[in-house]
Amino acid sequence: MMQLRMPQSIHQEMRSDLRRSHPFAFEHVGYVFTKPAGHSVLVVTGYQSIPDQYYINDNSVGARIDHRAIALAMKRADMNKEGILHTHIHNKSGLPIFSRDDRADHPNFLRSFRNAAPGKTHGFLLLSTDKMMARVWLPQHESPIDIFRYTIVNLPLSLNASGGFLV
Amino acid sequence: MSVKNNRQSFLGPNLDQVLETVVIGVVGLGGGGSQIVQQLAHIGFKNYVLYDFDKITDTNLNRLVGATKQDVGEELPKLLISERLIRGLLPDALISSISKRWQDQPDDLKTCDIIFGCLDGYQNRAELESLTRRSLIPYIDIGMDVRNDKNDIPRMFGQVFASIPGYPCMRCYDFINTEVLAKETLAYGDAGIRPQVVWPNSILAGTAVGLAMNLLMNWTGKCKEQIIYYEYDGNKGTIKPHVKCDIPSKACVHYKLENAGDIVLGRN
Repeated sequence: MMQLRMPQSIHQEMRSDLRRSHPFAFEHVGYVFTKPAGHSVLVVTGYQSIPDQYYINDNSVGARIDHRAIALAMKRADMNKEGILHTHIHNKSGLPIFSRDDRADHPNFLRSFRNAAPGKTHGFLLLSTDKMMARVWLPQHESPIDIFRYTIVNLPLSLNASGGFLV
Repeated sequence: MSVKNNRQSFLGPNLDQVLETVVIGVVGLGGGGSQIVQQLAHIGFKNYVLYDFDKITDTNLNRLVGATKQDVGEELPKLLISERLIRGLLPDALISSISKRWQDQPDDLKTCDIIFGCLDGYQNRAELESLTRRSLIPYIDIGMDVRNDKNDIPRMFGQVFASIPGYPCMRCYDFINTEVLAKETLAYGDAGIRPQVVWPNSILAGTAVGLAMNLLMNWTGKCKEQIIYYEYDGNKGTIKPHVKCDIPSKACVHYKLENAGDIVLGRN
């Protein structure tokens, strides 16, 4: 079973950035960067906020970003040999579920991420107001893996398994 | 909350799930590690990754919890003694027993949520701390020693150190530094007999397990103020926050987040 570990500092930075309001977009998106620790763990090494001016005014979706925003993530992933997780938040509590619009965008993002760092695991991290889940593609795999087990590393440790409990 | 946990229900409403789900690593199953395993099994933790490559000898019997005279005759691996101890309390526990140095098979360790280290020597500790920091896993180290003072009186001392990513590490607190590592390197092959007795290990193991329980359950409600470095004085019979805990903690400069994850050589 794959799992994700994230330091509390990044978790806090990510949530407060995604909660910001935007001049015209309905929501913010961002990037989380990861590296593997063994075969079944991804550790989060950083978060990248996307500047407001990199959003495209499009009322048909919650947020649409331009090529500069994608290049931001690709540049860092290539330089640091990291995987990229595109992330956004759904303003509901409980285990979040990717929407149809979210899923429709996945192939394009994934292609760009794999171009930047082909040997890395990439995907999408979806937050609710109190939980999160990730959908990732391992290098050279066409089927994704969903990650429900995650740890926010802090005092105290915050563990979540199968969306079941949060310590 | 299950009935069997009613005496420890004050730890929190999620105790059953934590005991079922959390994966605990224990590296070194001698005097200290065997006591940690025993306590974890009594609490009810179900998932373990255990490392030890040593077999029991007659000299271990005075401190290795769970060992018997018969085990010595059969030259039983310490791993099997710990596994037997856990299964005696939790027959359905999931145990990965690895009869190697952890450095020879580190990936199993990276799946753990908390790791206890019960190792000899500073280099061993430094290497394990490095792995746990890179993998973002809390690491709780225990150790003890006895040395004669200037009046030739034995002085027993020890420590419990919790190395938590985002908080000061063993180098930040100067528990590990170039001087102690160099001294150890010079004395390599000349370690002599390391003094060990059962009762300080019990105190250190109990403190370490208590620390882990607060880290997992925050049952005190004050986990953010958790002491992460304790010093033990066996002559006085005291364990207390290390004097260096009074120094305001700064961000760790030795293990930076951008260096987390596996070390990859070359471009990929």
